[in-house]
Amino acid sequence: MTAVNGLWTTSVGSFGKPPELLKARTDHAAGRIPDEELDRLERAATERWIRFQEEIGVDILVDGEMYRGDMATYFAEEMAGFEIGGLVRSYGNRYYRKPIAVGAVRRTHPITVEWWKYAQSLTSRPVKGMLTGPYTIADWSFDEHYGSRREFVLDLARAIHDEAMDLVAAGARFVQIDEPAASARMEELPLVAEAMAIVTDGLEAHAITHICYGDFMRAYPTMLDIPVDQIDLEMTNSDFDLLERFRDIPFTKAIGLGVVDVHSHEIESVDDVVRGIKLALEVLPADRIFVDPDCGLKTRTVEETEAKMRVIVEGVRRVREELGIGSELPEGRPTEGRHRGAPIPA
Amino acid sequence: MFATLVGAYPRTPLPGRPFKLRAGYGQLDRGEIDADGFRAVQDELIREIVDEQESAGLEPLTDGGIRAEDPLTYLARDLDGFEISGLLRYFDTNTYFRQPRAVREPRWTRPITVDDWRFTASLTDKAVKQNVVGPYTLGRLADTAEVGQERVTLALAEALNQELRALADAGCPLIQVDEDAATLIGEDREQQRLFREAQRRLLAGFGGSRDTHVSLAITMGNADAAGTDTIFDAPYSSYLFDLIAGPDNWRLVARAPGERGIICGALDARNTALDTKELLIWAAHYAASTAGRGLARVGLSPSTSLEYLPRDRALAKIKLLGEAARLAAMAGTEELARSIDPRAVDIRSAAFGRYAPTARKAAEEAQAAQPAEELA
Repeated sequence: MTAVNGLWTTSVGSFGKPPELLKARTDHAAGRIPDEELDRLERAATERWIRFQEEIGVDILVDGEMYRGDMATYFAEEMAGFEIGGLVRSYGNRYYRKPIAVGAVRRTHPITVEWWKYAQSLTSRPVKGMLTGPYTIADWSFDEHYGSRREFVLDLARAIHDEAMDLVAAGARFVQIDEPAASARMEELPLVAEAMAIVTDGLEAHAITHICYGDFMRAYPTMLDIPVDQIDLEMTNSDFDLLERFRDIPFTKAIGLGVVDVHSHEIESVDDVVRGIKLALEVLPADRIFVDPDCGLKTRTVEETEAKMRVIVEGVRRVREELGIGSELPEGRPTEGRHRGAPIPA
Repeated sequence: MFATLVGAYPRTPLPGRPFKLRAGYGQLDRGEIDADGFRAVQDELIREIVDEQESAGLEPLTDGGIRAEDPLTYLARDLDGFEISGLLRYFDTNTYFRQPRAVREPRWTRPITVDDWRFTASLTDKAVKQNVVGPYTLGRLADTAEVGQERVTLALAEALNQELRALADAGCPLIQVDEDAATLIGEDREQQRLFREAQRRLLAGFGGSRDTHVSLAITMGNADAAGTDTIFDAPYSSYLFDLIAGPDNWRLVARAPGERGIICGALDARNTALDTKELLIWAAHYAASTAGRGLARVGLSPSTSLEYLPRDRALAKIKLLGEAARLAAMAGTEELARSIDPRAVDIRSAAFGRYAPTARKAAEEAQAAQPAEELA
């Protein structure tokens, strides 16, 4: 019998869309194909990714977000109070339609629940509920209504809370509320935490937030005040620098450890993944480590997505075998870590 | 009195127009066009952007930063001593840059921006400025762990001084040094010293009789905590301050030496809501009133790059900016008073809800409006 379980494999949320779906999305936007045809292709692509994750042995699955474009815009499109603006660039040749708050924002219907139910119906392994956090939706939108960032964020927090509760009611044990914008303005980390407290209030699931591409060194340890059970962090992109800080100021929650770069065509070696995991094991126990890519893989092709996921699973398999770590899944319940914030300096 | 961009402009198309640049990237990736073919795609977009600025009444003009993957990579990839590394968020935006990693002291080997400036200048009779990210910002945002921030920053200052000289020698009339990382200095005395020293080295040979006007731009936040001694130490001819993300930069405006120009970044470049021309005009007039500066040394600009907006909103904003600069130049005239919200004119006009000059003022204005021969 294995004494310790841990190093669970998962992913941050999105996967590369197959070419036929990319074309269908373009055709649908231009009115050349009906909703039903797009929906059929999105479901087919979702099923394909669920099967793939099962086949390679991922522990906690995602639906791959075949039906979403930009992570903030997708939610804004489904809520009252938003208009969708024109394209803006995020980096390189990548662009997104940025939402504009033109009225009080609120949820009018469940947004992701049917997709989650569909994905979960395809597998017996747990599928994560995937939400974009209130701070990030607000930060990545224009505001022509509120004039107060706090009011905007907190209205969104109430909407995302309702969505998270519906996911749990539908059976989700793991709910991820992405806040990639959280590490950009240190002075607003308390607002991120305040909003997340609304989102996770009474949420009977393992709550995760994902943060990436910010100034982690400055955001740490304040980021620990965000009331979630797990913080998922991009680590490969910054060569695991942050782990060193955990030696001085202990990480108080479970971690989602990004071990492959999502912005590179190059496929990491299994050795690279093993190295990242072992660095993390120097500062955290295996049962508080989830292993995944740095961020969503939607910018990669299907082939690159598959290759990166395979090296993650293989890297974990190798470390588990070497160290005798089991793969039995955690319960998917709130943990003590949710309310364990930044350690108070002695 | 003038209006100008900070630098970058959306590379996305206006609604309903084809997105040729995005298609060009795809063609380049698939090998359907070569580097020259891709440059031609960029050239076409730069022509459009120059036309939009001209028609909005802006001058000096920019190329919209179209050729830069990001402003840091644009310089760092052609300086000796850097490798290009992972993605990082640019300040608090949802726009990213690839972090340069210094592997030795950076060194200038050849002009980087000169051909790009020449191309843009060839498209117009108006003055075209060239942006260069400053040594402090490049050194602060780069990964300098191997070489050290101070060594990298000061070497960069000397390297970029050669770039500034190459631009000046090519006839570039206005160079804008972008030092957004000045907002990170705060009260740190070592960083203040490094900023000052870097600017001195960067501007060696500039100022005085040299024809080229060199301007310092600071956007993305407040820089006033760094102090006037730090910000105004080097002999820049003018300063552009972000007054939206950095409202405390008004303190710097108020304390800037009167013989130096001020460009008020008072148009919100990060929100789609259209600004009011009254506020822009007020900003220009206030900056002109400080230290006896006068309107001739004042300009208006967006608060930062307009690339954070969709193209149609950016276009609407620069039209407003051009109009505000035109009106601001008419300080004290009836045309200005009639063109703006009466609440921004005087208490009498505000009460009437329309421009309502006093009888005496109306008589003066009527006299001023008469042709010169009638007055004689």
